[in-house]
Amino acid sequence: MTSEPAAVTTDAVMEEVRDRIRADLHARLVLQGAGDDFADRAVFDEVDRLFDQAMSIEDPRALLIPTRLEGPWKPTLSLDFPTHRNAVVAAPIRFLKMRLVLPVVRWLYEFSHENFKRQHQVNLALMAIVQTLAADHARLKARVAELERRPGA
Amino acid sequence: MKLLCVVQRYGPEVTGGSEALCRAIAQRLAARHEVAVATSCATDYVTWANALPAGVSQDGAVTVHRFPSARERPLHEFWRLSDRIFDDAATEEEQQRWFRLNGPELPGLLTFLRDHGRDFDRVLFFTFRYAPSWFGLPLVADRAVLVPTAEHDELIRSSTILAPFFRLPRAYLFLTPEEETMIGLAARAALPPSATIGSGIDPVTTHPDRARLDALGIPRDFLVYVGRVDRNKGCDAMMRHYAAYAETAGDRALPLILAGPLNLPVPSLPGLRALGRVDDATRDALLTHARALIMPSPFESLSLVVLEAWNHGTPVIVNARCDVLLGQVRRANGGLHYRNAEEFVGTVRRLAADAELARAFGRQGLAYVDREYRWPMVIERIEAILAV
Repeated sequence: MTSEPAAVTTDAVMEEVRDRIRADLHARLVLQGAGDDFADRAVFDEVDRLFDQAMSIEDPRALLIPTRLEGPWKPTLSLDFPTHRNAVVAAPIRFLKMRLVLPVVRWLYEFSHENFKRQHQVNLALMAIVQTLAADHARLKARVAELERRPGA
Repeated sequence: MKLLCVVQRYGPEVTGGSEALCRAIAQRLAARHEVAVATSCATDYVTWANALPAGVSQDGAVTVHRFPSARERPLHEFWRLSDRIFDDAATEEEQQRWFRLNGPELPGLLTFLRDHGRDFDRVLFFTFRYAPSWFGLPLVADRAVLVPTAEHDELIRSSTILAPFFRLPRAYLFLTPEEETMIGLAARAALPPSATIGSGIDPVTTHPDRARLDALGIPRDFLVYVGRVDRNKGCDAMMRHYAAYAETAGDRALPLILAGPLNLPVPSLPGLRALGRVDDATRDALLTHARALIMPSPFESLSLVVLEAWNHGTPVIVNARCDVLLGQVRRANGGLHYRNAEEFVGTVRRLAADAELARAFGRQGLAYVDREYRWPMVIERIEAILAV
């Protein structure tokens, strides 16, 4: 079945909404002192586009930086009770920690858990932005090299 | 054909997207086929406590085989193991254990599949993440049709044991093209025959009037959220974004009405009102008369409430972090989407300021439902896959 073309499209209205948001945000940042970087609206738009592209990477497995970090790099959010003792000694100690100590300090665990999650989110965003900038940089470098190789350059 | 549907819970008293879809499909297929269902005795999806009698019963033309849970879900152990999987720290053995703990653990159902599974021409498994599908499908893989109802969540991203499982079924029924792509990537292989069926929805026959809304003191113009008010559904972020909208719009802010059971404290904000669980007639009236439905969930395999809003000619504003919702709204041209507070405020303000634009999106959403989601079309697509 063929459908009639849409009278209004989601994409067109979203573009209009986003343009207004960008204009407001640009004005606010310039007012608060970002004029050196963003006096030119076109520069701001390009930076905003690049950040948007970077932040659309939501799966950390798509990031290169973590593969370059040695050892565990993520905050470990699961609570384990590892032990170096033999099973007979370890079992009652684990029981005490889980059933007596943990309930008492659970509020502190949950508070820290929330904050570690937030920090982790910021870390991922920064890594994604660095990755996108690095990829852009690599493309520009290749383009410059290509231009330099042209006769008369 | 002799068909068996395997699902974690079943019955008119069971609320839940995939369970309701299973029942609706089973009932309709029973008009042309001999249909049975194998399921648990549970009504509660958290504990899987046995609540309904085990044994064989009838649900219209559908024969229902209920099997008791061996135990209730051990929640603390399950949560601890979930954290390990989502931290990429779980071994393959622990991941298998996660599926067992996720439950419901139905040894009787697995024995039934082992002994009688081959008496059926096709066995449809609903929702891959629960134990009946995970442990049951391999027993009858040659005749299994999987309806994964998968969401792009931490399980899909983190688990390392999904690929061989996703290569087992004879065929697939997907709810959206995004789900098909996701399962294809997770299977790391070409998938068997499949169809994207969505879910069927009946046309609205009577236009609900405002009487019920007036009785509840709901103003003429409002935004609505329908469903569980829950952190997992993105409601905490939605309420934060709404506070930002209410602050910028002041007196002209459209109220946001929340209709559904509350699993989250609702902040005291002017314009934000929680009704709790509402009856179907009130739900229909809210979906008919709202300026827009807000759907904030970051994880959906198909949003039925979005389809219902469009069925009533109402536009939607959805969380674009959910690929499925983003795909649905863009394919339908049935509303707008947001990724953050600024976009939430911007999209709500745009629809609040332009009633004609909202109506146009609503009309296009309804046209999309007419094109893609009516039951005769859905059943036709299922029949084509069953015949493969």
